[in-house]
Amino acid sequence: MPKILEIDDYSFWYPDGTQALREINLDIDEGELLTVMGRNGAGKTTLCLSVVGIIPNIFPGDIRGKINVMGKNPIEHYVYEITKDIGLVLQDPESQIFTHSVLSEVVFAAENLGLPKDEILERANWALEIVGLKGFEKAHPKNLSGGQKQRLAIAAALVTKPKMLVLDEPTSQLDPVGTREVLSTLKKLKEEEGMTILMTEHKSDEITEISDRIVVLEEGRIVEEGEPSEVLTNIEMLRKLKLKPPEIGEFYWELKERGVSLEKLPVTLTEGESVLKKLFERGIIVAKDFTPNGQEKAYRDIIIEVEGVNFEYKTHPPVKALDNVSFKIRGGEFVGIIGKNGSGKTTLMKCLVGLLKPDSGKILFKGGEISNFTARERAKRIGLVLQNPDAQLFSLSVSQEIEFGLKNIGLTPEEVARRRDEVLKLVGLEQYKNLHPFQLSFGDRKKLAVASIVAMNPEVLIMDEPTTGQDHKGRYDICDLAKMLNERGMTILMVTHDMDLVAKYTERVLVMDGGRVIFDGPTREAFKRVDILRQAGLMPPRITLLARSASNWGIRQDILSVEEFIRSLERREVA
Amino acid sequence: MSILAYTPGDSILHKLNPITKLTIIVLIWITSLVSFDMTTFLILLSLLTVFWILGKISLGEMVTIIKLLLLIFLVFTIINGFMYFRGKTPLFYVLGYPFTIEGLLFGITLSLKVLCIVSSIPVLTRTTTISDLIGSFAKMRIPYTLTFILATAINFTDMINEIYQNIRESQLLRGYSIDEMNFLKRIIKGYAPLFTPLILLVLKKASTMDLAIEARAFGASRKRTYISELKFTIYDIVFISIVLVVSITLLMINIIYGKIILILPT
Repeated sequence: MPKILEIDDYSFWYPDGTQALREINLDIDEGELLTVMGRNGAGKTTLCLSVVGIIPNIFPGDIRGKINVMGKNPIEHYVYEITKDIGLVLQDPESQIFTHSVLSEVVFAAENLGLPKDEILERANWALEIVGLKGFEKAHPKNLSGGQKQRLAIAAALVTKPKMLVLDEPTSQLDPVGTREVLSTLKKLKEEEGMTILMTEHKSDEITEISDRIVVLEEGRIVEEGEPSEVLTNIEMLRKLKLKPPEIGEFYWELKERGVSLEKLPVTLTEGESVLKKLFERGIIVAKDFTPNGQEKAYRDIIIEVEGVNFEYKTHPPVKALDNVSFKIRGGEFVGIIGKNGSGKTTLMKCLVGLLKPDSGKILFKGGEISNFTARERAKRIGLVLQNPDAQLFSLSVSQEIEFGLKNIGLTPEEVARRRDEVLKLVGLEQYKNLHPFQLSFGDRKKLAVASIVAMNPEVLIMDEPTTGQDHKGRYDICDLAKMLNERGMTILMVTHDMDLVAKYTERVLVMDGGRVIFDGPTREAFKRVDILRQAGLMPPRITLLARSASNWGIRQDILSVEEFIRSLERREVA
Repeated sequence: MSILAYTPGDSILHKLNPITKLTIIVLIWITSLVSFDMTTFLILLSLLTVFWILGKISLGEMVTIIKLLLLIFLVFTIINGFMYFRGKTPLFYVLGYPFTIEGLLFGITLSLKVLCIVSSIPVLTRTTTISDLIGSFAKMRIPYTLTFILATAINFTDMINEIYQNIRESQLLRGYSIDEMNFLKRIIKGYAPLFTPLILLVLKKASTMDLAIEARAFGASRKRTYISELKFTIYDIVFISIVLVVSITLLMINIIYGKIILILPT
C-alpha cells in the first residue's frame, strides 16, 4: 500500500514552551481509516493541524522531525497547497461555516482555487450526494441540525477532491443521531471512495466499528497502536489512561478475568453477540438470579410542578418548542432529560429557571409561580449550569468567580467567604483558587461553572449537556460531582444525550421528542422501550443491547452496565 | 440586526441584480443628501415603501426603524425648535424661550432625510445573499479580500449577538441582571461581566474561523471563480430607470428652487 502520510520523529513546542507532541512516528496507508484517541490536552488537535500545515504556518512554534504528506513537507508549502490534497474538518461545526447557503459553503474552496465553473458544480453535486445533503443547496446553514452542519463541513472539504480527510473530534458537539450520521458518512467515504481518513475521537464504542487502526496519545506521545480489537481490548491500559473502553470489550475482559477462556476479545456488538451465543450454547456461562440493587429511595415532597406548558419561538416560520409538557419533580430526585437536539430540552430548562416565559401553562416551584420571582430569588432556588462555561467566566481569579453570584444574591461578606471556601473544597478546586479561570483545563472550568451556581445553594440544580466537549474523565468527574450533590440532598436534573451516563447516574428519565414528553418513568424502564428510544433518536448503551440478545438464556432485558451483566452470569466448568 | 439580515424569498426585489439594488440605494442617498425639502423626502419614502412591499419586507419593520431612530428625531426636532436661527413664529414657550414652527419643520425635514437614507438599506440587505453581493462586487472589480471581510463581518454580527445572549443568560442565572441596574451603575461596572467573556469568546471563534478559511484555500488563486451568475434583466432596467427619473427630477427641481442642503431654506 502506498503511504499517504509519513511522520518521522516529529515533536512540536508552542511558543510558551509547552511541548504538545513528542517524537511521533506514524504512517498512514492509502485508504486507511486511522483514529487517534487520547484525553483532552494529549496533543490530538496539534497533530491534526501539523498534518495540514496550519502548524507551523499559521500557529508558529518549534519543530523537530519531519512530516511528509504525499511527497510534500507542509512547512515548505502554503496551507492551501496542502489542503487541496487534505481536507480539514474541525470540532465546532458553527465556526467553520461562514456563508449563507449550503451550496455557497460547499463551493467556497473550489471557487478560491479558481476551478472552472462547471467542474465546481459537478464536484459540489458529488460532495453533497456523498454526505446526504442533496436537495439542501439553497438552505441556510443556520437552519441545519448539528449532524447536518458537520456533514456540510465534510462536503466543503471534499470539494477540492482531497486524497485524505483530517477530522478533529468531528462528533464531540453532536447528539447520538448526529454522531451516527457523521460516522456513517466517513464509513461510506472510505468504502466507496477509498478515502484515507485521519480522525481524532473519544467515542470508543462507535469507532471500533469503523476504524482500521487506533493510535493512543498521552502527553503528546504515542503509547499504543494497533487494530481496534487489540488496542480497545487493552482495558487496563485504557482505564489507566482514563479513556473509555468500549463496553463490549470491557464486558469480555471482565469475563476473561473471571476465568472464562476466550481466544480473542470481541469489541463490536455483532462480534459480541455471536461470542455470547457460543458461550451460552456450550454452557460455559449461565444466567444467575439477579436483581439490580434498586432500593426505592424515599423522595421528599413535590418541588417542581410543570403543568401544560407550551412555548413557541416567534421566528419566521414559528417553531413550537414545547407542546403541552407536564411533569412533577420531587425533592432529592436525580432525573435525566434526554432526546435529540431540537427536541425541546434546552427550552424546557430555560422555562424552568425563568429565562423564557411559557406561552401558556404553569411552572410552580413549591407551589409558587416561578415567573413571579426576580432573577435573584430564582437563583437562590433553581440553579442552571449552561453548556459553555466560557460564557460566564470573567473574573480575575477562581475565587472571585464564585463570589460573583453570592454577592449578587445579597449575602454578607462573611457568608460569601464561607460559602466560597466550602464549595471550592467540595468540587476540588481549592488549590486553584488564586488562578485565573482561563488557566484551568476545560473540565475544571466546567467544574468552576457548576461551583459558582452550587455556591448559591439552590434546592434544584439543572445541568444542560454537562459532558459536551469533555473527555471520558471529564464526563465522569462532572457526573460524580452531580451525584455527590444529590446525595447531600440537592435535586438534580441532567439534560444529556450520553446514554451510558444516563444509565449509570439517573433514577428516572424524561424522554423528549418534538417538544413533547414521550416517556416519563424509571431509567431502567426507559431502556426497555426500544420504540420510545428510537423515536427520540437515541440508542441504549451497547451493553444493554448485548444483554438483550441473551434474553433467551434468561438474562434480564434491563441490564444497564457491564457490572450488572457480569453479576447476572455464572461460569460453569465445562469438561 | 434582523432588520438588515437577508430573508429568503422569491420577490421581484430578490431577483434583481445586486448591482441594480446598490445603484438604487446610491441614487436615493445622493438625492436625500443633496436635497433639503420635505416633499422630496416624502416622495422618496413613498417610493421606498413601494420597494418594501415589492420585496415583501414587513412594513412593521419600518416602524421598528422609526422607533430605533426616535431619540435622534426627537433631539433634532427639540433642538431646532428652540435654536433654529430662522425661527420666527413661536408655537409655544418654555421658560420664556420660544419653540418656533420653522424650527419644528426644519427638525422634521432633517429627520425625514435620515429616515430616507436608513430605510433604503434593507432594500439591498434584506433581499440579497452575501454571496451574491460578493459576486457583484467582484464584477465591479472590488478586491475579493475586501468584500470577504465585509461579508464575514456581517456574518459575525449575528454570531456576536448569539454569544452575547448566552452570556447574558449565564450571568442572569447568577442573579446578575443588567436590566435591573440604573444607568450610572451600568456604565461603571455593569458591562464587565458581559463584555469580558464576549471578547474572549469572539476572539476564540474568530481564530477557529481563520483556520477554517485558510484550510479552504482562501487567497489561493488570483483568478477566483464565482459560481453565482448575475445577469441584468429587463426588470433591472425598469427599476433603475424609475429611480433615475425620480431622482433627477427631484434634484433638478430642488436645485432650481434652491432647496438643497448648501442653501438653507428660507
